Amino acid sequence: MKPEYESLFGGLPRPERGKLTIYVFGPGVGESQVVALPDGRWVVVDTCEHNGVVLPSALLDHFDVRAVDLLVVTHPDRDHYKGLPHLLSASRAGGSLDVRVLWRYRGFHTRRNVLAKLCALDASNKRRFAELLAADDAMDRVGRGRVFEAALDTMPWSGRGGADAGYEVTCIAPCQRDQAYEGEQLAKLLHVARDGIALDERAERFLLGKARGVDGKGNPLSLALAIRWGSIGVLLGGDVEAPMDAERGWNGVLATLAQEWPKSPDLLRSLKIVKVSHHGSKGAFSEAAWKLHAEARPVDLAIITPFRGSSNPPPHRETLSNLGRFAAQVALTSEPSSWGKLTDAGWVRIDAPRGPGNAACVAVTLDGASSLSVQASEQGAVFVPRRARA
Amino acid sequence: MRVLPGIRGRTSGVKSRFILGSSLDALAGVPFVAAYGEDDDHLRIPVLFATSLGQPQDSDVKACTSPRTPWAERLDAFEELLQRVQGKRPSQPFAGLIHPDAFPIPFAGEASDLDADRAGEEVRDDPSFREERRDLFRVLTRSFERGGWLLLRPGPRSETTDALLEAGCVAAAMVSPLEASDEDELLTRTMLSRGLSPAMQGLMYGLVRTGRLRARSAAQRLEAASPGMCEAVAFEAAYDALSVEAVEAAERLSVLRGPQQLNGVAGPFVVREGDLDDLHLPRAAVEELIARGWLGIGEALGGGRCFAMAEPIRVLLCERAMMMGEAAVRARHRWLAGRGGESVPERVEAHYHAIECGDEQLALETAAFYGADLRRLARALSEGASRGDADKFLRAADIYKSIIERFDDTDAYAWEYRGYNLALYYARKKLVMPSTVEVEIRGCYTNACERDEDNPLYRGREIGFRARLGEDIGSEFRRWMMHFMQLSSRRGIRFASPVLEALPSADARRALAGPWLAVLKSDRKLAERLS
Repeated sequence: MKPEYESLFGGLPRPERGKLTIYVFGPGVGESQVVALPDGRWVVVDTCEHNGVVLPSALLDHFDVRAVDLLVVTHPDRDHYKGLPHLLSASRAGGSLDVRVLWRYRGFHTRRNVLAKLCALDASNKRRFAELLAADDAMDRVGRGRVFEAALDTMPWSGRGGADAGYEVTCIAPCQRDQAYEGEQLAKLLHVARDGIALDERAERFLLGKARGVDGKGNPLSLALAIRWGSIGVLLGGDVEAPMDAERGWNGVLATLAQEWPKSPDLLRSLKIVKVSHHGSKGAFSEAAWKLHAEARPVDLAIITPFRGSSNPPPHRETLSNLGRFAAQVALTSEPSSWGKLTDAGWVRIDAPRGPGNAACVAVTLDGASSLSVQASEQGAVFVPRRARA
Repeated sequence: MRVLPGIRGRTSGVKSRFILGSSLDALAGVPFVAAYGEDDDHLRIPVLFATSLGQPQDSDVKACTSPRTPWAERLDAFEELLQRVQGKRPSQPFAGLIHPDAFPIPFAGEASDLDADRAGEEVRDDPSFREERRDLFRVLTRSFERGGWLLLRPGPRSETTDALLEAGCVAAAMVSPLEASDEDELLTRTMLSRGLSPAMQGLMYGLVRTGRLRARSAAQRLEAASPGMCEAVAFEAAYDALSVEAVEAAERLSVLRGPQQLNGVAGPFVVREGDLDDLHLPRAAVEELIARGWLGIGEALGGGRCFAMAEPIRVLLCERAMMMGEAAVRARHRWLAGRGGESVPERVEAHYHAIECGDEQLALETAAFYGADLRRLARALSEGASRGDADKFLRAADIYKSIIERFDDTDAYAWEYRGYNLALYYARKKLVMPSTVEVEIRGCYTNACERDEDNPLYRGREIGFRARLGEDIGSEFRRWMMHFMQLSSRRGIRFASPVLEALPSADARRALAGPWLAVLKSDRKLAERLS
């Protein structure tokens, strides 16, 4: 542990062999998860910044970690890749990071073709897309044979230990329909860019992973991960949404898993921890998925990475209210201004352990049995349903 | 099934066969040439077949390869050559053609594209190229009928299949490169039911073979694609799964038209360990492209391995490469144009690259066997001139002059656009046209009309030019208008447009239009000028 990071990570648990520790960062814009696996391996999902610090990078440096066994970039939305070039830079404080496997979203090369064309057409696009271009370049440097486009049909990862590792990290989204949809949308985008037609706002937002497709029918991009360690199930939901279409988003994931191929619905059944998808937005809540998550008992902890800035930033009250039926606790990584929504939705704050660090983080440690400990940094908070408190 | 005109009887003992696929192995043992659907197909293919099937002293070979042979003579010579070769070798395959689907199909009793283009609004098209490609396909189809051809089809079209079956060709079965598990069969069935081209099938098989995608996943993804988007979804899946190095290598290779040598080199690029640069490709990237089905591999006729990128794939990759940087692609073409090489295929390709890089001097220097595809370069200059730089009209006119003087003075298109670009140059620059230029333009237009008598656009421009000079063209206009209107109203409109544009006032236009005023007003642009 390095003292210079105490103001950020003070109070957060150290990773321990034989335990699974999940650090969920959500500083109000963006999110990232860092997972310390029971065998000492590390998984990083997305990157975000807080006060100019790339939080996952700083945390790895804090613990003197030089290699990430699996890096996952769920989708090319700025709040999920902000700081990625720094994380992969040789000049970062902790030195060059060895990324052994990179899972990234589909359509990487085509997006890059379109961006190149847009930059050639209008030099100002170089500035507008600078961060995405830098993130693309950073991913290129990870190296041959280590980069994979992940989706529901990607084989699970379990470190170099294979099945003996005792855990598996499985990509469960996007589903096949979303992948085909994404391919079609990119083909259309490619024609627009090739012909030198300026992108309209929706196409541009789609390109940046922010919009629900060029034609507005749902974000098909985001990866989501299920981690299984013995009987413990964890879901890191990325920004997967729940559009009305029965074959897309969470509906598509559940429909595909229901076929028992290539993966089983057990991956989403009876979970202990869920990083709620898309910051707890209304459109990302899937009743069917949560029923599965909480099939045997309520999910022990739902973690939300709240947003600030827009007029009605997520999490949404309706989602918070719905979570009351499925989760025993909800933790927020930051944004005390959101706490009122939880109170309105029937939750009450409890005195969970909070450290002095201000990294906008909720950390959970699981010991392989039923024990679970939650710690939050200064801005974080943990809530339970009011009825439970009573 | 539609019937092709002029099919002759079969003389060969072995039927022509078509193979749905992209592996060059299917053409082992025969000289083969590829069609690309590009403007030089009809010029290049006779040259390459003439030099591989005949001897330099043969008169038909000389006619096919001489830069001064007019198109009609070249076509006749090529047909004679094929008949002669097929007559000698009746019992075995003697030649291969990759991607016959690149040709426009001629059908009896149908209006040709040339008709459509002549009647349409676009004046900068070059329908004669398409017509000439169609002519070549007629000759080839008659040769297919005589037997002995192997036709490799990475991107089959149903109308070409009809034409080939009508010509007596037989389909050869394509074997799945995967183990015959249930999943693999599911993928094969899905690809066939969704009409995925063999080229894209190869990419999907490549993903499965290299473990990047399970066969069942691939099938599910194709099933999920919207109608008409299957090819795009398959390409995207395969492209997405390539490493960055392989993407960059593929984009470099896409400027090459196959087949290319593969033996420590990939065409002109040296294959080595290490990073990619302008001259070198990383070995791992090339191996990845081969394993993933991006390069069709086969044996070159003279021994050694060769590869070709299936045309449907190459087209899409070229598009991507252009998006990543047009200047880099043009620089690659320039390098390839200047590399030299003594063989006929090398010289043909050097000329192609010179045109693609837009270097007029280099293009003229490398035009060894034909010059008609210099039209492409001239047309690009002319289009550039329309966007602002009027001097390019003059450069375009000079290229057309070279085509006429050095290559083919029967080329109506070149005569027409020599005159047209000269006229545009003086008009846009607002220069007084010297009388010598006036005479030259008039001569160009006249020559174009003499060589393509029923072309309404050429005739209209010729009469319009004289109208601009103050000649009374009224009776001539009416005579030709009657002629073209008898053929179709669209041809009439196309003829009338340049003539009416040459008149100074709407009153004069309406007066000249006379009884055809209503018909001519049905054209949006003309309606504005006539109101």
